[in-house]
Amino acid sequence: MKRVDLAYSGQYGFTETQMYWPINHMVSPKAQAVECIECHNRHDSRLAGLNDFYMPGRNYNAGVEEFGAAMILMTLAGALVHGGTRIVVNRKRKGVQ
Amino acid sequence: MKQEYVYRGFERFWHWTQAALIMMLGVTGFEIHGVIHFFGFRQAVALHNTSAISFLVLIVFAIFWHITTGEWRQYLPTREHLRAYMSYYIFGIFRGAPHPTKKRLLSKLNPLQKLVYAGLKVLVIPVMVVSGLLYMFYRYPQRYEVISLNVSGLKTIALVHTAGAFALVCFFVAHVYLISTGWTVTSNLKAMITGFEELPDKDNKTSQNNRSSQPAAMI
Repeated sequence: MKRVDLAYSGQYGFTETQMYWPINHMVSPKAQAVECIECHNRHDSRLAGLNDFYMPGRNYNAGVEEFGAAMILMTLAGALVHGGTRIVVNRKRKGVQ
Repeated sequence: MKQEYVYRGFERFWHWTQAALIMMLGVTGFEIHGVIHFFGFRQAVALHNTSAISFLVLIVFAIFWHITTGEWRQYLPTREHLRAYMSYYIFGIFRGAPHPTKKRLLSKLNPLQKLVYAGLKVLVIPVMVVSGLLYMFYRYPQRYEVISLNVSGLKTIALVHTAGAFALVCFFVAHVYLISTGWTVTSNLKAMITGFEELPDKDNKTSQNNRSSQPAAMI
């Protein structure tokens, strides 16, 4: 202390210190591992910015989706109308007999 | 009640195993596609792959069965009774008219079923199997430097696979509805479970009088 020209009372003590060693190479604990869905999803994929390849769960073709959904709805509607008509017509026929 | 044996043991096993696998593939596939959330992505992928391999094994057995028994001929499209069936499903069914033909062991599919199932077997299922296998293994030709088999990306494969999946959902919806169009609402379902289709006796109801006298579509 004399050499750096600072005042020194002559008393000293100890304090607690902590030191961090990256012994696990910065790998997170198992519980915090990245889940598949964090990239494989449509809305907030971690890889949303990498757009030059198709990734299942993230990518889709709007045309295929809309056409597919329309076909399913039409099939459902067809079944409902056909089945509904059968029920109504059957009731009427039974009423007549 | 008369009983007609229409579906053999293997056929029923094949049908229900295929039904379970296709439903499983549908649910897990659309989860991977990001449309539904049920198993979780990782589990959905694992189940989709396992179901796919199981389905391939089933297909091998089914093809063997169809070839060795000659049953594949049941699916050959025909125009015989085709108009009769189209008019049955558009008009006749509402008037309580009889089915144009009788279901038999030798001819269990009507002409519309022949068309749909033949399309399913030669078009939709093969497209799904081939695009599915490419989906699973598309990296490997590149890895082993089989350049001629190189696939640069999943996009086309995935879109074809998805389109086929939508077609199968439509088939599933129509198929489930059409169960109810047998002799009675449940007779088709019973037939696929027990193998036997219950038919009304000849003089049971006047409207069903001529059903069994109609010739079945023989191939």
